[in-house]
Amino acid sequence: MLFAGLARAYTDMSIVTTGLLLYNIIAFGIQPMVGYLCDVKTRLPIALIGCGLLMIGLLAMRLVWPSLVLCALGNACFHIGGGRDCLNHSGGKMAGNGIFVSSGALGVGLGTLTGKSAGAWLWLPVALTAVSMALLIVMHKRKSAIHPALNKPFQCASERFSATTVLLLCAVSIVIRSFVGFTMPVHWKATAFLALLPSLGACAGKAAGGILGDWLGARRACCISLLVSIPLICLGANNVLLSMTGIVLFNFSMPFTLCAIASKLPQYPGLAFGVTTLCLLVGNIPVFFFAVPAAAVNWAVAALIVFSCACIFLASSGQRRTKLENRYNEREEGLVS
Amino acid sequence: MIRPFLSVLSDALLDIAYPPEIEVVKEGFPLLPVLLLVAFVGLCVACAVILIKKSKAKNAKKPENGNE
Repeated sequence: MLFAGLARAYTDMSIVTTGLLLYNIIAFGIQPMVGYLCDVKTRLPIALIGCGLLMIGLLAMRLVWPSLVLCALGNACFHIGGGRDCLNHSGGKMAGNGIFVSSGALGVGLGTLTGKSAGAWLWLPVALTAVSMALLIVMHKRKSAIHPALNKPFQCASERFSATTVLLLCAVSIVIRSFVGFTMPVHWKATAFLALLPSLGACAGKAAGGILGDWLGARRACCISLLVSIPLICLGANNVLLSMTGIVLFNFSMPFTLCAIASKLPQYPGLAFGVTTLCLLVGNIPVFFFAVPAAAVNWAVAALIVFSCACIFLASSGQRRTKLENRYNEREEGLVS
Repeated sequence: MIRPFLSVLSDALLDIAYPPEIEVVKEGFPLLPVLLLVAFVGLCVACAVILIKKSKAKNAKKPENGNE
């Protein structure tokens, strides 16, 4: 919606795109710092602050640049609030985190469509933000300590390597996913409705990735899905069904990378969430400046996905969550007895 | 089979209502603001690395127990 507002205010597309870049950089770049602040000051109602900033930004939409900065700051704050709560209450499972993050992909797609309707839909995000603020106020009053059953550590990451190595491998995988997600060939995205489908695919993939990762084990779910996605994305660029299946499978690894980073920063879920969004931004920035030549896109996409798959193979644990959980419970019982 | 159906549906419902899609340009960026923005991202990455090191140092002192 902000992008459409900028496009109406300026005819020069370079200013519009710079505005979009500014929004992305503020919204995603400062999240590690905001996350760390929340991890240190745990009582800070950061999600509520974020929604407040977003509300002011939306209501001040006529002032394009201040509105853009306020909305970006709000985005950074409420993402950290939601992501942090989700990581803290997931009981060591990836599924909940995948579902939480998956909604963002759908929101970007719907927002793009809404933004093209010349401001007539402004009431919708304002109303949704108001409802979110009301719910957050109610939840904040009821908030109690995290239930011990929900405060289990994630055990999806490999124990063979140091925490720094696993963090680096996951970071590389996220950067690649972000870059490939924006450069992959999707020739059928010709109409506004079809343009929404990749967002739906990314949403479904992120949600399903967490559930299947818990069930099959992170390594098995992520590596198989990434490898199968290569021919579907590269060779099915003209076919909606093949391409959509590829997009769904390509996004399976997202919940794993988030939870693996969180597992290596156990007392800092806000920082862990922020690191993943910063990596997304780093992967997104080259897309603004460079276009991969059409002849090389398929090879580049395939090579990058294989590399990402290798990173995840090394960073992940090969066991299923149930086995890991049993081992964790045995360890806990051993400590108690 | 699905493709023509989706195409017809989308043409009917959406393309009439919305203006043409805005293309993202890849050239002609104002150099100074873009350099500043990219430098800001570099600063964010440096801050994140420092915070990770700091948190790992603090974690090393505490016993591992859940996320928070």
